[in-house]
Amino acid sequence: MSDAIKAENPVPDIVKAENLVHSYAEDGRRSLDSLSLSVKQGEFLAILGHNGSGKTTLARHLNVLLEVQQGELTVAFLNAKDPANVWRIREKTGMVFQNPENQFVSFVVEEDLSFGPRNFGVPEAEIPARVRRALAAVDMSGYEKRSTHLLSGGQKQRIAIAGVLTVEPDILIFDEVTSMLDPAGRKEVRDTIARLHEKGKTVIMISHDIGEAVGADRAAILNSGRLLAVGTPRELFTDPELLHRAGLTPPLPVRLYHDLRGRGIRLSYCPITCGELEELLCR
Amino acid sequence: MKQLPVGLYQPGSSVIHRLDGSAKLLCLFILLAGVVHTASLPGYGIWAAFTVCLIRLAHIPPGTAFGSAARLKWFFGVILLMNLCFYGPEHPWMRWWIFCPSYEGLIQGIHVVARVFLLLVLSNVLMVSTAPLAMTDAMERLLSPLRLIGVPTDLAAMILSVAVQFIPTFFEETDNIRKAQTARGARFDSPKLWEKAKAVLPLLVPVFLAAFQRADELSLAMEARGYRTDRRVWKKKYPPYQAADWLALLLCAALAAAFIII
Repeated sequence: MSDAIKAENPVPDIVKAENLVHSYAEDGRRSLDSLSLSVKQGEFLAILGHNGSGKTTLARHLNVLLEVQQGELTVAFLNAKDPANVWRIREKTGMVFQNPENQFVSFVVEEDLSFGPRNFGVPEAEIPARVRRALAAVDMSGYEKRSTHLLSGGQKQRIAIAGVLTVEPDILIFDEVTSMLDPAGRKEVRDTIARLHEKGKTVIMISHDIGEAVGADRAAILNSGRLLAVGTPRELFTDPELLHRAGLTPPLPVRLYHDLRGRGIRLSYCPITCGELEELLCR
Repeated sequence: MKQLPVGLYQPGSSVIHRLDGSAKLLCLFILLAGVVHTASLPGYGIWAAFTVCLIRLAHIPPGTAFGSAARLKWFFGVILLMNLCFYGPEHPWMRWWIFCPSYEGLIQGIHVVARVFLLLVLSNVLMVSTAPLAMTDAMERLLSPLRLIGVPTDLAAMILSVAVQFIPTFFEETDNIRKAQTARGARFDSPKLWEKAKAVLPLLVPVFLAAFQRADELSLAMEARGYRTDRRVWKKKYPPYQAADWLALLLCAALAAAFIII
């Protein structure tokens, strides 16, 4: 698509939050504080921040698991403040949580995967095909009859993702989905998320690990419920001072780049992935 | 902990697996009624042969089918011994202190053990050949008439299903916490009851906290996946019984009736 056509048909904001405020405590301490953020349709946005920065509170707003107390929120082009839209938004927005074991309602994969579509009134005859498609999307075809509690951590989380995909949502929200997994499991889940994004899903990934977000189109950094910065991963991750203020650790290649720079070795640009670092060092 | 019978469902395509869950549950109740009314040793032989046939038809490994009953061998031993020693004081073989072992006691003990054993194995065949959600569907279907008087049977079935789903996780977590506390010096193996109690009490706090946290996370995940208790979007239509379901019910009813009448 040419730039002129793109300018004429800008990609719409599938999620738009304006001055979102949320407080759990009676004392009025804000978990979200005048937060404004938008996500384009088909975009991969990583939301980063340390523990207690408001990431999960924001994620729960996007699935209307928390009511909007103050501000405006549109999810999947629907007003999240309208109670009539709650279930339509949940149908359009699939959310995967941190611990896969706490998301299963059945021992058997296909039964668990049927749970969401049944709740949203999908005809029974259509459900097996949806289950097969969802399993194929997470590269786990043939696992229909397996027991959920006998899978590896990465497989469990991919089944949890498949459980969300059977509802065929437009937006996928991943709330620290890799934090309980071993490196192999993390890679499995990361690759799955990347594949889903390539297929056109809007992906919102919540994490406190910057390494998980380098493949995102954009990243937003939260701190104390406020939006500290938003930009491309390269813009944000190569700014150690910004990351320090957010309580985040820069990716290893960025740390190495600055260490080398401190020792007088200058690389032509600051790498954010190990692949880029390897390429620079081999040059 | 994964050896618990609750997690023993083994997917399969046998004739027993393919039967409707509620038909299987009804069959189990009918068979149990028949077993309870059995009063002769040859009768138990017939039931045992029937149970073995079911196990073969369901392609269930003998270890799985008899596993939960075999684990209770000490319980069966105690039951047999108590009946033997205390049941029939009229014609005892001998009398010593409060013990009066008799032939009647021995027969009664065999009756009780055989009944409980058959009950466990038949229930196990049902558990192993029926998926947990199919089981809750079956309970919901059988309880559905109670909806007429306002009992939320679907909600009760879901609570039961989720509770069953969490049992292996719950035991695994308890085991992990127990190991962590053992590493920090807790004495679960102490023969002293007081020390054992002291070790178990601190175990309960993290186990229950973890259980509440899990319940909280699960409820959020279920809500995010469209589950709602205020309105049932998914109108469940129970499939009609197939010929095999009716045949199974008829066969079980005939067998049980024969024992009850005779």
